[in-house]
Amino acid sequence: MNMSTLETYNSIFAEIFQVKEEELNTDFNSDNVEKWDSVCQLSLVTNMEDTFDVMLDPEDIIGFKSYEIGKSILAKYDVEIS
Amino acid sequence: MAKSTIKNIAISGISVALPTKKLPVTHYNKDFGEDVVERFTTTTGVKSICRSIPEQTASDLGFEAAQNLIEEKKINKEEIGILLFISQKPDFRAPASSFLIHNRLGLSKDCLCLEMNLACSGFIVALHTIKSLLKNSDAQKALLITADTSHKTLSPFDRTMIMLFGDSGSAILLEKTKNNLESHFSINSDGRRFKSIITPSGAYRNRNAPKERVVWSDGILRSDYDTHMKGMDVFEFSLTDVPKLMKTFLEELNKTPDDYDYFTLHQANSYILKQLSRKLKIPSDKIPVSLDRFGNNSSNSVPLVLADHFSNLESKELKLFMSGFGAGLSWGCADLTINSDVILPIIYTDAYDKLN
Repeated sequence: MNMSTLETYNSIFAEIFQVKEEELNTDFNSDNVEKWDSVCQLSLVTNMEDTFDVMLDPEDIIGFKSYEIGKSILAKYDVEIS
Repeated sequence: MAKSTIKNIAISGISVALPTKKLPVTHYNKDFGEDVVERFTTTTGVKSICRSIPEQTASDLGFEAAQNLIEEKKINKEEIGILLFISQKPDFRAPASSFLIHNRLGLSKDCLCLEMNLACSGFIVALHTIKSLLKNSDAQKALLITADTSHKTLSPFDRTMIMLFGDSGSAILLEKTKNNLESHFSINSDGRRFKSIITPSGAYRNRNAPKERVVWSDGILRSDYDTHMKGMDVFEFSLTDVPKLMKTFLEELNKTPDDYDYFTLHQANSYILKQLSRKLKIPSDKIPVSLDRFGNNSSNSVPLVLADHFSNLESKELKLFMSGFGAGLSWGCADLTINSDVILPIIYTDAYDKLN
């Protein structure tokens, strides 16, 4: 069965940050997550780009600093996370 | 922005020295976990790095590269009137390591000996400096040496840095030429962001900092004697300031990527190289990569790329766009031509100065 875009999005976060999907919420961001370093950031944007077949602009690569913001950034590239 | 055009100074020799120990990043599986190391390699592109032994300093690697260059190119040492050493890992607090290299190479007393504390922008900034100095002196030849052993001020617990940086040294010979040769430079600095990459202690500002490593806010054990990089800030710098300068530089020279054979860029990580390629519309096959086998080599990244990719070419003029960017913050671009036959194959050595 195909995963929804939300399930795929969540699975990328869960794998990179080694967390359960239940932990992904509006507070999940670079300020609150200790493991969110530059390597994780790189890994996150690389995975999002590869999985959703988009190329993020530099300001979006840098701005991808929270679970919620990531959804709105991907929406700019016509990727609806739902 | 400091911009320059320097005429009739040629690069007439390039030699690079690496330590013999090649360390696969999987060596750190036991420390950070296989998944973290695998993700590191996927995102940065680094699979292995060269590591110096504890006794071998940056100046040792620079000296070995210079000695090889002098021997292979049969250089008359009396003609070397300027020696400039670039490193962030000096042998002593004083004197500058450039004097140690001057001594070991047996250079003339009629030689200006200098040292600059620069990291990943070092090669570009220093190339600009030494060409300017040579142009305005009576010396015929000058020697630029870049070297670093970055891991020696890194916390072994720092998963973001310890697997990224390799050790190496290089020596570049410059000489005056009557050939019509131009090189162009553009250099930026931003001291306001000096904390972005910093080793806070070990010099004279924080003399009483505790040596014991403690957990920082990112969960990594460090002391103030370890180099710390604000990865996100440097990432942002690399994706905004650097391509902006590269683009402006191209526009001012009225050139496009088609005008160059290669873009020899600082090997920060593969993702940043990919973004620079995309932003500047540079075909990826024009950006040679060495970081997969050698990591990020600080000021030595660009010479290492040259030796890694072009030392075995048949004689060929290479039109090169160069860029370096890092601690300071400091970033710069260069436009120049090098003949591939001046580039020597990489040498591997663990030799060090026993100070006899």
